[in-house]
Amino acid sequence: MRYGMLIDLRKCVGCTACSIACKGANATPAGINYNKIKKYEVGTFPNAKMKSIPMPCMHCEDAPCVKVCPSKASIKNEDGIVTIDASRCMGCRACIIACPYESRQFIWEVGAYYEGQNATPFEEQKQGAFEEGVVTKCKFCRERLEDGEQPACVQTCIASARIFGDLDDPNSEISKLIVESGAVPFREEQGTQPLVYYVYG
Amino acid sequence: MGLLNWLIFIVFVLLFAAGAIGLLYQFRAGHAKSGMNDRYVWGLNIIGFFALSSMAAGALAIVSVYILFSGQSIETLATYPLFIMVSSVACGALIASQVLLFTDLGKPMRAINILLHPNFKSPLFWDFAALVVLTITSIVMMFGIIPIITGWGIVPNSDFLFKLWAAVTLIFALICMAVHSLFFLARVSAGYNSRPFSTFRVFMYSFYAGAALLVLLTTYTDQQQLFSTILLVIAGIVAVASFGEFITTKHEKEALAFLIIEGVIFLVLLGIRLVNLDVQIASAVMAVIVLIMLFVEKYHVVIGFQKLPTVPLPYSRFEKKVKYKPSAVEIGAFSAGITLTVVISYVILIIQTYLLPMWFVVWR
Repeated sequence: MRYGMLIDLRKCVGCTACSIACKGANATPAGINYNKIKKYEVGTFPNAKMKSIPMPCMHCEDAPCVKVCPSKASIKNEDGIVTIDASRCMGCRACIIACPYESRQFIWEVGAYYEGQNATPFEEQKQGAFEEGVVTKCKFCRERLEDGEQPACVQTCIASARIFGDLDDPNSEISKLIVESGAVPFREEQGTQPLVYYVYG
Repeated sequence: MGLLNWLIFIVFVLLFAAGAIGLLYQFRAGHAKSGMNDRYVWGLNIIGFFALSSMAAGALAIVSVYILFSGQSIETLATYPLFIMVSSVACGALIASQVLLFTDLGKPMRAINILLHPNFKSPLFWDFAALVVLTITSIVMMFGIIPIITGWGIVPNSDFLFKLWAAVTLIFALICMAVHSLFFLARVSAGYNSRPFSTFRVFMYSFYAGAALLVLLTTYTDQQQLFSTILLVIAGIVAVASFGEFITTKHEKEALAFLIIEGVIFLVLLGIRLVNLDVQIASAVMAVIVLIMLFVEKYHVVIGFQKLPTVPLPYSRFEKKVKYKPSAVEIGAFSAGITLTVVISYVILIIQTYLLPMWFVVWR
């Protein structure tokens, strides 16, 4: 079992609902965004287009963040997901320097979104998992996977641009789509072997 | 210790005390009060850490090579007292660098996890190991422990132990230097844009700063000419590395600036030897300039590296341009780290001179 994700950029409309869903599901503190959307331009005027590329953590097979972590706080699990053991993380931020995908963020402070406003009951409950001074990132909604659900970003996507599944199963939807559509990882030349594939178009 | 040395010591203690307020405030208040942000996750603390540990590793490496290839008994060498002095300053720099690193960590107390859950593939682990070993070896040298062990009669003479010390110190100094150059490889491209000269220059800057420190410490002694020669050779190599960096990098203005400055330093050092000016003071002035350049180079490496977008164009075209503006707290913490190097070096000198004068060979 090796979880992976395919993002079909031909379908992505750049609505950022996946980012919002991710924030909602994980209750990430202000300033922390697990799922970034990079906007970029293709073509030239008058035929220029703005496109979007969502970028969660790539959960690389040969993850530089796992290699560089001096205290083994970054772990490559057997299911393919790279997680951070926050209790071991000492906040050196070497993994942020090492990551070629900007997947990680340092929690500078766990604060409210609006100054002077208390946390909501949901935030109070969920943000207890976050602590200042450590690094955090997307973990493919591992808790939701254990409950048999899809990651929040996959479930929310209005264009069904995201497919999630087992890369080790050749009959899974994601494996078939990778072969049929010729999906490739982002910046494959970095050699980190990401488990997030993109269909460009 | 003369009056001048006491005055310098007191001034640096006061400067350290002022900067330590920033150090303690950052330690207590957290990183949100610093100038660091999501773009610049490493700031002045890490720049100071890299600079001080590089200088110490470079100086100890040069001393180690000298000991390994010296054909004479180490204790009879005229440079033996210098080795003790260099070890003292290196120890001060290593401790100060580790203080800066410790206060930069998000969760400093969890640094123990490096020992509890070591990751041998991590360059940071080997950096930590190298710094610990170098701190220990510098303490061994500056407290004259090798002659004491020899006096116990376990080994027939001290030369074997000195050469063992030198071998261990050299290996771990090279590990430290190599690891520092590895940190910034993640975002380099392949082929022509792989910036090989950049990593080579980071590596050589350790030797550069180490040689400069040795030149400074041997001012108005017979040993300065030797270390000035070493500094001159290394300056030439660094200038060549900067030339290669200028050719291969797209950031031509900064690379050109470094090339010009390092080229001028090399030419001035060469000119000093050719024209035979008051070599001692002129070499010492150039050594100070090189040490300043060490911090400039580390600033360029750490901040300049992070200034580059992580993902390439066109995906990074619309990213917000963020600048790095160190906060007063960060500047205070940084200056505390730098001044701590001098304070610790002087404390060691005071211990050697006044508290245990018969124990140490003192270099004046």
